[in-house]
Amino acid sequence: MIEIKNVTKYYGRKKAVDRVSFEIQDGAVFGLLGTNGAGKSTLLRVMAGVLKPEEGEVIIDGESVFENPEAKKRFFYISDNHFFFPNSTPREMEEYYMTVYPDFDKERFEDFLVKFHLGKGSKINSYSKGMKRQLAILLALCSNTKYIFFDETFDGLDPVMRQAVKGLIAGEIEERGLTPIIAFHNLRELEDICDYVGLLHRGGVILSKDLETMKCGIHKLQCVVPAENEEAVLAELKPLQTDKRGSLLTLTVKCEKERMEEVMEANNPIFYEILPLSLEEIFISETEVAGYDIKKLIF
Amino acid sequence: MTLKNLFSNKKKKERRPGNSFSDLLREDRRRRIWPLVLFCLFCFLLTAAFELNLESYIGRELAFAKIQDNIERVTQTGMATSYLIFAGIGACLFGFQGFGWLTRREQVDFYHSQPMKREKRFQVIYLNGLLMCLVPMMLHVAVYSFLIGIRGYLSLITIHNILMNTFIFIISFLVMYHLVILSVMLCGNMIIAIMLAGTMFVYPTLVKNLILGYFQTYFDTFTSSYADPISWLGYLSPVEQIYRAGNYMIRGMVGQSCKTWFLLAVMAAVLIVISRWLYKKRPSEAAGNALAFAYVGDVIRFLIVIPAGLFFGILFSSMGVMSNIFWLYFGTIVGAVLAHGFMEVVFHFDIKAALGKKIQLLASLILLFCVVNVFCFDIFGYDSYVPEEKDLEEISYFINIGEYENNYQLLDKDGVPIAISGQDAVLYEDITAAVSPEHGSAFVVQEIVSSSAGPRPSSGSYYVYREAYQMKASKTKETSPILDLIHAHMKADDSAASGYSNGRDVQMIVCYGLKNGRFVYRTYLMDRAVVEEYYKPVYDTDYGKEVLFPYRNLSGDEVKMVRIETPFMRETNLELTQEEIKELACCYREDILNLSFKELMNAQYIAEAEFVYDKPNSDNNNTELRLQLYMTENHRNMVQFFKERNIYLTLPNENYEVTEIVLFNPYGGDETKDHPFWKEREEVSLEPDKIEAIVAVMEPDGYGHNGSKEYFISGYMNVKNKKTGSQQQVYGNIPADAVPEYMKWNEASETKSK
Repeated sequence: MIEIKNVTKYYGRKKAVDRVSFEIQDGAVFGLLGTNGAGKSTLLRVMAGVLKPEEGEVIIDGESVFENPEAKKRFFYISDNHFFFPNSTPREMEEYYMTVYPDFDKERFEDFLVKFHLGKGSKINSYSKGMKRQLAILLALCSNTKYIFFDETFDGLDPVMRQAVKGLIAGEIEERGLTPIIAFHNLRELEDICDYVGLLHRGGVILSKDLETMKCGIHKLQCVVPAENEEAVLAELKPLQTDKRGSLLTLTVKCEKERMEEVMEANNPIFYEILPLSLEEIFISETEVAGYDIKKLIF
Repeated sequence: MTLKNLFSNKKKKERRPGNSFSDLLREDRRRRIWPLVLFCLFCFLLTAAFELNLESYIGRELAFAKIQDNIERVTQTGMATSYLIFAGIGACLFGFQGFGWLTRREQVDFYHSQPMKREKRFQVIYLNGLLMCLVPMMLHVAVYSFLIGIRGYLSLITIHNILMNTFIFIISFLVMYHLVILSVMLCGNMIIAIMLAGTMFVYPTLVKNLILGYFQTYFDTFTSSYADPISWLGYLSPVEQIYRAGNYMIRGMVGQSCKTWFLLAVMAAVLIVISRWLYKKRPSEAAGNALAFAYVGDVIRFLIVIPAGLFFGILFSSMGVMSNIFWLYFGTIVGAVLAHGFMEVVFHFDIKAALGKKIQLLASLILLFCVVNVFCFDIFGYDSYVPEEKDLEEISYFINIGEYENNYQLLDKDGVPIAISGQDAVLYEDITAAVSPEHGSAFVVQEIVSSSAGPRPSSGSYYVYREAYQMKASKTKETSPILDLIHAHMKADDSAASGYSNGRDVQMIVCYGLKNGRFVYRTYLMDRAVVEEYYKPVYDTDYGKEVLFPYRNLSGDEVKMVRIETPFMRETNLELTQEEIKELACCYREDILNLSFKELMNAQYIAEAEFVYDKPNSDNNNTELRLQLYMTENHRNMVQFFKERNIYLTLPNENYEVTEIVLFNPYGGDETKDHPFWKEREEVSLEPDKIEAIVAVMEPDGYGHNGSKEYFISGYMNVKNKKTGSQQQVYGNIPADAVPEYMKWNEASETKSK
């Protein structure tokens, strides 16, 4: 488990991360969401032990991470501009990481190189941005660390490669309990991979929640009810959002589906339908509750 | 490729051992192959250059000893210079390349996120840099020694020189390497790190010389030869210490050499300890910033702005024609503002930042004005300082009214001057004791060594270091006479204008030995009248003679030959018996006893007498020791001695006649075209009937004088040897007060009359 406890980080006088606290459970994918300048990279660098926070600490499996090689053996950090030795080849990077991470799987790495069509002896500085990202991901996966920190790693990947990598990660999670922590700035990317999401804004955490729980507890209801019953429906369901167009009511309601059905049946609806919400709609609702207009934050 | 394929054929992972130190060293070396290759190439080229040099000596078909001697010289000075340069190259190459990654964010993220302690990474990079520099150099030393050895020229001296220079290389490299690492630790940008490293290397020396410049410019009594009010700054300067240490080593000054090398080793150790500590403290986010630590910028800015202000201040005031104070202040402000702005732009990479940190700039300016005014107005009374007699333990001094520079030269059988050092110095103690038993000891010889240009110069004499001799000989607890002289000078000084033109040309350097153990040095430019009045009583004592005449006990016992030379007579060996030599030495002793103070003050030297001793040195080669003494017309006994042997020291005489005198027009031909003597001529050859009168007053260029004479007309005499008929030109000058009326031209009245 990774515990981020009240971490604050300054760059000079500017506060980049402001008293951030949350936990990352093992075996689940944690998505770190936020716009540019929200503090995602800074937070990841603090978690990777690169930056020392002014306040708070990051604890990985019970050990503080800063200047602690034992704690650092448990993760692999892929920065937004991952470094490769000048004029090096994948083989040379492999040999280097073998000295750094004792559990590095050489054979598997070489296997991946073949499958991803990355030549073992080819110069990395001739690779495209996407290929370099691929290589970084493969090195991370083959290092066999418990956690991998991805800092906007998926940005440079094409859709096919992105799916392939997601599949790899999914396989690693299933097989050896890998816990990826992925920084995104596009909400739509998160949907099919993340179990937990943390939303950062201006250095602080707005929310940190389990996606499934978020999805289960909130629904969209479209209905047409007699005018005299409208108020009763609204009073009972207490919707988070209400949108009326003509007679059609569209409500975002935070409650169980069965309860919603019960209420509707009791009010003689002309028409009603319970629809699943997209992640965007869930986020909008959740952040509005927290007092933020998420559309301005992330879209 | 499908997702399915990606999950197939997953093989069992291979476990490797942990990241041992040697594995890390090897990996780091692989990353740094190009600087290693480059440095190996430099070492190879150096070896080749030395080999070519070796072959050039061998190819000349010189005697074995001569070749060996040349090799010893090359391995002494040539090697030292090359090795110092290589130490600098190695330090920059491995220091900047090894730690330069700290200035790039992606590399910092890469390295600092890995499971390795910072200290370990520091050690790996540091050690690799050390090995990659030292190993190729040691290989070069081994190969070069082998190349000399197989040819049979590897003498003990050569081995000693090679070892010495290897030692110089190692220590110099360590100091410079650690300095480079420190500069990278302090900076987040490579260019600024390079600038900082260069600055740190020379900064203390530059600042020291700048401040000494202020002392020299504004304090009349400051003497740079002795007083070093900020000597401690020199100890902080790597470049100065390395230069000094190498110099001492080459000259065989073992004690001072060891002390300085020890200091350098301590400096290297301190630098690396600080660097390592800074590396641990250094924030990773500093990569890409100008400086790694915010407060360092304030310190660096201050350390640059103050000297910059001082420099521009003294620069402008030296160029200013009008009020120097105005230009001093002006330059100070300009320098401070420019330096401050420049530093701000460098720190922030933004030209608009030049006007930032105004409060700091103001504080710097206030401090600068305080410092500048201390010098300008002598606020602390530097120039007026004279200790109370009760605070004085002793006093010693140098006063430049003694004998003219007496050369003391040791030459080998080929006539090449060589140094007197180490064991040889002991051998020559007896000679110098014979010359001047009380003070002629190793002290004199040591001074010769320290004033030499090196142990094996191609030419040059070794002077009896008059200042050092007088400083030692004059040391006395009877401080009153000298204090009286100084007080009289201060009083006269207050009322007189400054400068040589008013007859103030007697320099006196005084060392006040205080009872608290301190030594304070001052120099005074005294009026001749004051010196004549107050120093004459001192001169007329045995003590006074002792101070001014180091050879007053010259015996001539071991002199094998005497030579004499004048401006018109070439060096001539005299055939004298041992008795005659002793008689001549006796004449010298009597002459200096009889020389009056006034005669000494106005001494005009006319001849050089050389006493030649025959003494072996430690190499058992016959060497010749020469003692050169300068004579005036007032050395009456000596003049008479030579006259009795038909050697005349002045013109005209029985052996030489002046056949022609040509004078140079001091006014310029155009101005004097109506003058009956000069006319429009630039040069005038005197009529024969006028020659004799001019010869009587014309002083040949030769050996200088003690007096404060103003010469007005220069020219030359054609001097003919009556015996051989040969002629030579002897240049000379006519003093202003001896110019005949017919030569004078009143410029002002002539112009008016026109």
